[in-house]
Amino acid sequence: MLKLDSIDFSYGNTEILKGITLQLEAGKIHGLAGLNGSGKTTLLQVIYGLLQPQNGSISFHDKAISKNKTVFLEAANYFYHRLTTKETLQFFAFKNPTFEIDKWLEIFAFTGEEFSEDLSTGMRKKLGILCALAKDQPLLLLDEPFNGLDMESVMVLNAILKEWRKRGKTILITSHILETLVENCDSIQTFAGGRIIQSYTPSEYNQMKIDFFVGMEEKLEASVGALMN
Amino acid sequence: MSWIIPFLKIRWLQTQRAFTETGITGMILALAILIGFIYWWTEKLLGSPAILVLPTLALTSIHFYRSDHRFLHIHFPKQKHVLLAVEYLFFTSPFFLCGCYFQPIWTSLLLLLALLLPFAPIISLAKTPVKLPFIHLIPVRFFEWKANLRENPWIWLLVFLMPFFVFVHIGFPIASWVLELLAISGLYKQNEDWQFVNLNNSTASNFLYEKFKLHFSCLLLFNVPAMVLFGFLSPDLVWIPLVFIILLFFHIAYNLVCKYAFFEPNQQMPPNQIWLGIGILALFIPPLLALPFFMGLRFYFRSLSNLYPYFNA
Repeated sequence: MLKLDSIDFSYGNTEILKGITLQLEAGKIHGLAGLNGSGKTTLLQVIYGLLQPQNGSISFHDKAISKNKTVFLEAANYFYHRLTTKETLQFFAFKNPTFEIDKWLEIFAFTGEEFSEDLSTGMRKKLGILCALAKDQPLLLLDEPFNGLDMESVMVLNAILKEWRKRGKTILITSHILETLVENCDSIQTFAGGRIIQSYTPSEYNQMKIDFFVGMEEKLEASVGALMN
Repeated sequence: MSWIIPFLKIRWLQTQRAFTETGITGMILALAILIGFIYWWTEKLLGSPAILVLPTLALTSIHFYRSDHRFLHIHFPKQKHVLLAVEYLFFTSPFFLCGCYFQPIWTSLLLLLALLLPFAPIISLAKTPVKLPFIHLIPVRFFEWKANLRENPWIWLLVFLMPFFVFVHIGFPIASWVLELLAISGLYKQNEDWQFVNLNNSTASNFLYEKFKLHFSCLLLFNVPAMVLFGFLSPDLVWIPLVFIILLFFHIAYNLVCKYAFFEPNQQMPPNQIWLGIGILALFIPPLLALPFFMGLRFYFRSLSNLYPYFNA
């Protein structure tokens, strides 16, 4: 069980997370949905320990979270310049000798010879996902893992997530692509203004989403049209 | 030519920011010590107005390292090198003019060129990485060496091969080791992502210890064959390679702590570059060696606290 108890986090006087309390079942995929700037990424950074909360506690299986046993895939992925994709993956698979680097590179259509500074956003994301696979840890925090991926790569990532769930990994995903959350997650937490608003099952979330967006498109089109005229 | 004034304003802002990032108190302290040493040393050797050298060096190096190559590359792709040259001449001109007043022109020119020494490592000769046939033999844990070999293959080839010309003249290996001292700083001009840092280690001190071990072993593998050959051919001068290997170890250790004391993930040309420049200069002015030594100790503890968020508490 991943437990967050009354987490508060502020940047100076700006409160970002306000009393976040969550209990997420181990071995499942959990989604975090919310608008831009609602604090999803900050929450993942706090869980991983890159940021220290002002209040509250976080535990995984009743122990403090260990960075060595957690994978954090950030929304923006950077790698060392002048290293090829294969070498980058070799670095991250250092402690995982069974990881089949060449086969995984092939699945995401890499030759292994690309230099990291020449990769597009989507390719960086794919390499980031491969690095997360190579690390092979029980807790995974994935920040916008579907951003920039082409259709085929989305399908590969869906398959990877299913396989991770089968192997009992606990996964927390943020995404703006709501369909991907509905398709992959066992529970979805909606997030706004630094608070968890509601927890949904995927089907409940889907229905809520449809209700929420009904009529919104026409309203937005009218507002934007008026502004641009 | 209308771009000149806005451009100079932006560059001035960048210089101000560089002072803040580098730590103005530390900078002033280091400058004071440097000026004292250089004044004492150069007065004895050259009788030069050395007090002008250091402010010029500091201004030029800060300006150079804050030059924001990406900004220049996007907005002034054709004028980039001309602009850098004009700025360098502008900042060094007071020194040069004073130098000409107090001493022969050639001495001033020589010192002007010496001021370029700290910038040598950041000059990359290969704009696109060079595919080297043997590079896969180097383990990826030495990723800084791998990347830099691809970036500056000819410099490293010279560093590796020149010592074997000891048969021709004893100056070849010495020149090679001097070149190596300059080239090594190039290994630390880019910061890796934090995910590279905390992958295999549980604490910051453990990480730094492993880094020292890796880089020292790489240095030994790279240099020992030539140094043994030198010692074999010139047994009475065996102290020369020994001095150089100690200097190289010291230089690598200083570069490492300097890098991680100012570490911010994925940053290119981080603010530690001025300290690396001072470290290089100190290697060529022996009385200054105390400065990187004490700053190195300080940077070690600063590295530990700076890396703390990336490791388990």
